Amino acid sequence: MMKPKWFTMPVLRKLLNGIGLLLVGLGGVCLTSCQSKNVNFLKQDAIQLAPPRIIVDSSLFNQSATLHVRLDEADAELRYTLDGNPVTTNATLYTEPVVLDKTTPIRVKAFHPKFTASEEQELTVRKLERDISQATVKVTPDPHANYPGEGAKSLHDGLKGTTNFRQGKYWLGFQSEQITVTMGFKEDTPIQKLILGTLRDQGSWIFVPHSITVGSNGIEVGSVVLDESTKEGPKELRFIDIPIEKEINQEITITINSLSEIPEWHPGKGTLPWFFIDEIMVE
Amino acid sequence: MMRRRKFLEQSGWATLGVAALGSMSFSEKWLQDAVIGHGSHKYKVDLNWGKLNSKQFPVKDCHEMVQDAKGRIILLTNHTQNNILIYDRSGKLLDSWGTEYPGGHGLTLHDENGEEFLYICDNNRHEVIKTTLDGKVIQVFPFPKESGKYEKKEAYIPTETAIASNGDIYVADGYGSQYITHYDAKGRIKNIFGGKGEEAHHFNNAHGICIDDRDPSNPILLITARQQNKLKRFSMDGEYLDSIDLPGAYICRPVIHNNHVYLATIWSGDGSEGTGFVSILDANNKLISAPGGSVPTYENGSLNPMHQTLKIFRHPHDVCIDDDENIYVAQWNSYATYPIKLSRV
Repeated sequence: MMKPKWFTMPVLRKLLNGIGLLLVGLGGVCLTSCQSKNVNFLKQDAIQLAPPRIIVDSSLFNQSATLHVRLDEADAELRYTLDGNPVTTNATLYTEPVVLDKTTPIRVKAFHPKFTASEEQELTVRKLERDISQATVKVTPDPHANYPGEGAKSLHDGLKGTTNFRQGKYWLGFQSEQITVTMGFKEDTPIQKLILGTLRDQGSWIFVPHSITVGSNGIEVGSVVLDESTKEGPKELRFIDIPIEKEINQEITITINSLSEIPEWHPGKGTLPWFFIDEIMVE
Repeated sequence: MMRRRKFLEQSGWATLGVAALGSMSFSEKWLQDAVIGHGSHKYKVDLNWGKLNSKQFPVKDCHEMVQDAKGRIILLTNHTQNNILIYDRSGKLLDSWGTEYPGGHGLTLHDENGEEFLYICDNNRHEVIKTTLDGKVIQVFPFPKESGKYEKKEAYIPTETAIASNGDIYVADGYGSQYITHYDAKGRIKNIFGGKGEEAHHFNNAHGICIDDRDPSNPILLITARQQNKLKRFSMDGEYLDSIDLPGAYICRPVIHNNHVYLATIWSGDGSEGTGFVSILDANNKLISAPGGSVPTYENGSLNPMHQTLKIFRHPHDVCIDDDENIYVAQWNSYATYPIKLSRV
């Protein structure tokens, strides 16, 4: 039987060279048998923690509210501040629920020995400074039939909804370009600030409005333009502060201008977004 | 020709070798691969798996993935330049086809006496299309008018199919009227159940369905009620059995592999944008691992609410599990990115 032609010295040398090359390749690559060694897996420090959840029994209260902070990741450290300062590694470590008895800006953040620290999560809980449950309140247009709340009454009953807007009768939902709320007080009421309790839930097509103006005595007494309304943001209870810079009489008119259309980056782009409001507060 | 091919192979390997050595910089020795998940089911994360030239092979939403008998991974996207992308397990593209599925959403593979077929649910076309693995259309299932539940096709937005061993076809109308339509193997309607409502047998987003044949003598249907964070169990003839509560987990479709149920979880916690993780249930339907999510804990038999803890996934929409129990994760609304592979450790 004839030997195969390739089984000669020069060819064998070439073959050995080839095997050598192959081994270099195998050292770094070993394509199938030990595939995991050549894959550039995601490194620990390339992963960021998700922001911790702020859980309060009521974000609007007469006496006190209890704060829970949660992120169930092994070895995560949850830290918080209650004075408005950013959360650093020196901030208070969360170990048990915290009772709050005044209006408080809560800021929380998670840290981890392996993973990158989370973004901060913020929520302001508010002690009701003024009882305006006796005011007369009118809303135009009527809220959408699916989200009527308890009508205008919901806006000054001291009760706050949660981000689960379908639960309870707290939220009034609108799909309107402009919403007007008229509030009448029995006596002259000095007001420094109006606070609107609204909702951002972009996954449900609910956006923060574009702008809000407040009028009284036929003149504009306060206004705010919200640049954030077109940007992507987390689902959250969003309190909007409107400083009142001029004197008012016994009636104020709040004009809320929705974002004219959902921005380009969102699946609902080009359509009119929803606006949700559950409470109006005065200070 | 042969010698040229061999030369290319050899030099290719050598180049790869050098490249791999060169990329191991000093600092990387100190960087540890992340390991995610819990208990017996932990994974390393490969973000580069299946990444392609997005001009040549673009994706919009990566909706669903299945694996065929040859081990190929088949991805359905709603990009009509190539609705179907077919990969090998290493993430190399083998084939692509499909331009007529603008709402390509649900992808199920069924072995019919040795020949495999795909069932594509198209949200925009309001119908289900059965094709061969290379894209030839075999049958189109239009909206089930004769069931009496539908007057127009727009009320029917099918999201998923499941095919039983006898060839019966179940279609979940997850974005439409929430009915499950049950056909025989020839496509004749046998039954329709579910629908919108507040009772246990109703659905809010009947998004995914599969045949749970882990007990071979007693197969049942597993159907997700995504907005309700529940996995509902039904008999094969549409009787409601019970529900598995997964609070905080917006589960897409159940996928059964080796006695476990895997579910892409598109949102998590309060349902915020940019959230999600992967859920893995054991043989007793208990959540045992949630890669990217919180540590699953039970109190008095109830799962504590789940939430995302690591920002890795953005709206996982489906999972495909291979023989080594690696998971391929297709994502919705995630800036047109390709699937992520989780390598089991």
